Amino acid sequence: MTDGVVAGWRSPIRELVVKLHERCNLACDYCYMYEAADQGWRGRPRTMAEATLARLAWRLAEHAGRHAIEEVRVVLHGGEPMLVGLDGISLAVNSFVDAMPAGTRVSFAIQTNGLLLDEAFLRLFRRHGIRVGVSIDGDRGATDRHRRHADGRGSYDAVVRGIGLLSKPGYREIYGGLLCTVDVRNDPVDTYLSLLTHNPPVVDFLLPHGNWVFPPPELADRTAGSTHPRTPYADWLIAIFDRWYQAPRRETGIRLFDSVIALLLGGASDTEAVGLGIPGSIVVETDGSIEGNDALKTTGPAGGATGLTIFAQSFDDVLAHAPVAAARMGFGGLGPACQRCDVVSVCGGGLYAHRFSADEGFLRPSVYCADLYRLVGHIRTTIRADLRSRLRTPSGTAVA
Amino acid sequence: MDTKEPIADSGVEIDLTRLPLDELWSLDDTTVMGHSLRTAAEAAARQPQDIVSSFNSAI
Repeated sequence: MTDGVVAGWRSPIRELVVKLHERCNLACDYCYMYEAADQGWRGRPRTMAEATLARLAWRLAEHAGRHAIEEVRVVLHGGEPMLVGLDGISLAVNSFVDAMPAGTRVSFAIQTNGLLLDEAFLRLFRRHGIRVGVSIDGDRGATDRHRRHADGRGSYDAVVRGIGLLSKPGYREIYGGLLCTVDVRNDPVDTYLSLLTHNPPVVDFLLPHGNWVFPPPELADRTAGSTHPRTPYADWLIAIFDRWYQAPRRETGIRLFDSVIALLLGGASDTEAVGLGIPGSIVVETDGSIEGNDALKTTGPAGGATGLTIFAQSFDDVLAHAPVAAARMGFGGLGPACQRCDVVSVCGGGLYAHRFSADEGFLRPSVYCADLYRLVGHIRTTIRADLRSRLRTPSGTAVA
Repeated sequence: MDTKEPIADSGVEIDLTRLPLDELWSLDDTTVMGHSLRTAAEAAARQPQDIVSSFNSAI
């Protein structure tokens, strides 16, 4: 397994995160873009110029053609990408569609705070098949705890209004899901039930970005090792898992849990947060600079920077760039503690950026290691018990 | 955590590609587990070797 996974760093890029707009109409206090160690956004243009967009589309087409990629995915991102307006979105979509070589499809998604969602935008998104993901952290109290305007006003009412439009029958097909950043001070089940009222096809629970240098909230006392007396994030997520898993019918998908179950059953993860899969995405900022992963912005000043740009380097050059390749080595890129661990095939060492430490770089386990270990163990125990009862035919014989 | 423990009491290895789906869970099983098993079995049908070996090592 190891050799094959190590070779994965050469696998082509299949997803492009495009920073269409470098600013935001919210001032969330936990934002990795503006509040983390990497303040690179300050020196970049507010929007991606048309010439930069054209060059980027050409670069992606060059890569897709060279590797005969059947489908590439473009994620319109920011800041707040909808700040570029209807024309800006159209320009971006048409640039990529027009540039792709024969045999390559391009699909689109947009990640938004939802404040600007209206019928005009939604019609445009539907016309281009752009799937829409919206960030919301639960109920009013949970959402407005962090997701506020610069003047302190909460954003809950506006985002709920936007999600209400998105979840209407006419737009259901482009409703990508909800993204919730975990705050363990919020009640977990109340948070889940609140998200469920918006009928999302999928919910993503994101652990707040942090690492051994800049610990996440509640983990300032975290020490290395897969066990720890306090696992607040595991506790929080397990409460939701149990509520979600024990429901008489599947109410929604939860990407993190679905991925852990899929990995336990021998499948693949649908998120970089777990599993040993090779991340297939890179980030391109408004000035054309290339970054490996947005979460790396939390590791230090210029933490996300590669020094590469779409004007000078191809995406194949990016793959060969050592810091990018190091993040795409799966099992081979893990430190010894992770490689010896009994749940490594499931947690995969956690999100790459969460492993960062000053003395070991990215070779430490995730700062969330103890939480991930407990969460995976809980899900595994639950699945195993449930599977045992199902791995019987009605006559009682074991399945072979 | 013991990742090597066989899932079935008999100790046999499970081959997801050979699971008698209609006997294991009904098609109207809309639980999370029902959905997960169907997804895994469908994936196993596409990539049987990878899935089965991974399944047996993980569970």
